[in-house]
Amino acid sequence: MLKDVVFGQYYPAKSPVHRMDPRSKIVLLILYIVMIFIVKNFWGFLLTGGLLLATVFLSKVPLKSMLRSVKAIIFIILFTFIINIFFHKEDGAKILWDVWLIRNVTDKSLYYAIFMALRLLLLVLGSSILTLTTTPVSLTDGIESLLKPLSYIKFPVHELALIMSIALRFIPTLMEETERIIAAQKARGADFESGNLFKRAKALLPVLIPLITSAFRRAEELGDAMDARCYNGSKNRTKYKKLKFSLVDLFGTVLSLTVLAGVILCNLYLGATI
Amino acid sequence: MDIFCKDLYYQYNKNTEFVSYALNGVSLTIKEGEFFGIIGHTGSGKSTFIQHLNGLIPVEQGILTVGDYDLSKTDVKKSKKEKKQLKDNLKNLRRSVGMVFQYPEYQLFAETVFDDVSFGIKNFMPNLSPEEVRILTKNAIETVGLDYEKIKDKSPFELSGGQKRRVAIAGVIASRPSILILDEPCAGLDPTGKTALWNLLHSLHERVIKTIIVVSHDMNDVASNCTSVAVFNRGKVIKTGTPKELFSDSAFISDCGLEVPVTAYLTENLKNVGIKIDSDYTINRFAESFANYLKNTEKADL
Ligand SMILES: Nc1ncnc2c1ncn2[C@@H]1O[C@H](COP(=O)(O)OP(=O)(O)OP(=O)(O)O)[C@@H](O)[C@H]1O
Ligand SMILES: [Mg+2]
Repeated sequence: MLKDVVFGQYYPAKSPVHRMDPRSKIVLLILYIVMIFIVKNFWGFLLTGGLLLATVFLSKVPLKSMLRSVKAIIFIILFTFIINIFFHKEDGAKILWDVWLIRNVTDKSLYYAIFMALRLLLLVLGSSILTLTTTPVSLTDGIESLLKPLSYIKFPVHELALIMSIALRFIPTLMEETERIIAAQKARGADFESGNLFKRAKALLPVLIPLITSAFRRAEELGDAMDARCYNGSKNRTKYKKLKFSLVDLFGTVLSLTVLAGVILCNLYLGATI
Repeated sequence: MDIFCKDLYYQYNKNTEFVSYALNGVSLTIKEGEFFGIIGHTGSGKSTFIQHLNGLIPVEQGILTVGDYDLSKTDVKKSKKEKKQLKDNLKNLRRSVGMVFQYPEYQLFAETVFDDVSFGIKNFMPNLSPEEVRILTKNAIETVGLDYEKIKDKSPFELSGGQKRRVAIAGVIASRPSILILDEPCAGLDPTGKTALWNLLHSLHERVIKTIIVVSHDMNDVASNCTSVAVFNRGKVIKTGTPKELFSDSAFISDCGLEVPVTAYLTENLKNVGIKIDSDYTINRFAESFANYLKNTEKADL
């Protein structure tokens, strides 16, 4: 159903990865992404993939949940794979297949296509580890804290974080609401599945209008509730949950840096194939 | 149309770590002509169950028939023609089984009350002439006790809460269902609005709609209005009967996380001090019986 589409599904568990400070998780994810992009041969992928597997194992997130996030973008991965396999050009490439529809497939383009698909896959899996092990709330907390320096140049960091956390908070609510409204209109004979594209778009109107009015209603109610409690994002606001850099963070950082060093060594000594 | 279901099971988020067992073997028969109440603690599966009755939730496991429609799960692969047939059937089923969700006023969408109420008619009966649509719409709006001429061109969003709810109900009964299902129709209404709504349901039941099924958390309303009641508990129907049968066992009712109606509570307390009153727990009957008792004791005193 609709809910399955939303990524950022938190998987509750007690694990070292869940315990990590969201800030270090975000920074390490960025580091991991950098690694994936500087990797130049499959040895590098072996290392980064190993890091990913270790993290997944430690996080106690079942593989099923991981794979669900891949399912959402499998189409994009396939698409880039096909584009690359047919259109990647390189000197000295040996043609593997050139028959009928399968034209211009060379050993290099095949290699390149696999490489790029793997890169995307690792990217998505790594990012989903962050969202699977971090609640949206602590994620925004982390982002807010990381962006704090920007507030010195009058950038509204706190407000931005607030907007983000409210938006995240309301995604499931609005999803639920959408499902309810769809059910209600179906009960009145609405048909969302037949007809041409134009007809289907028009059929969505009875869902969108109540959804938008209810979003406004909720926004108003939330605003009133915050006002009633004298909410303001002033400077001296304290946090309910203090973020703390602890031993697991240190361990994660050391591990990631080691892998980074490994990747660089692989690139230098085992040959760059891309 | 009778409703018959046996061993109905349903799980939300099946095959994920968030699975929740909403129905765990519901077996229930609802006869045509009943004013049927469904009660049960929150999360007992009431809303999930009623959404099976018009095919909004497909049957995962178990048997369910509504009149001539067999909604039970079949594993047989279907041809394209059969699928089309099935879809048409579903549409007919949804026409015959009207469903009013909780807070139905939040589903209003059209520019005018007329357009909103006629939405279902146009969907279910696309071949009607505009005049026929107008007559059905007018009937529905007047049935729920609103002034057709005054309200038909208004925007549904400028009405009061109670009026909105009436418009929403009109939108469901407009296509003349023979079963009407309402999920907590009184939520958020004031006492007068509540009484008016129950009166409306009774007049619908007498005149146009054969079977009415109401999910309610208010035991007083259930005791006073329903002919039959089913008690849901953790995804199962653990008891069905008349309000009188159910509410005389107050220990059982509170075991289910529910409360007995005030009349049953009073009856039991009076019994404890030695005054026996026989009533079916509707307010009227209770008052009558109690008055009779007082008269009799007066006579005895004389
Ligand atoms: N859309 C959904 N997704 C996941 N779980 C759900 C969904 N809807 C209901 N449930 C779960 O299914 C169970 C039964 O819910 P249901 O809404 O049928 O209960 P109910 O008897 O109508 O409760 P209430 O009296 O509060 O309306 C609950 O445990 C609920 O958490
Ligand atoms: Mg419910």
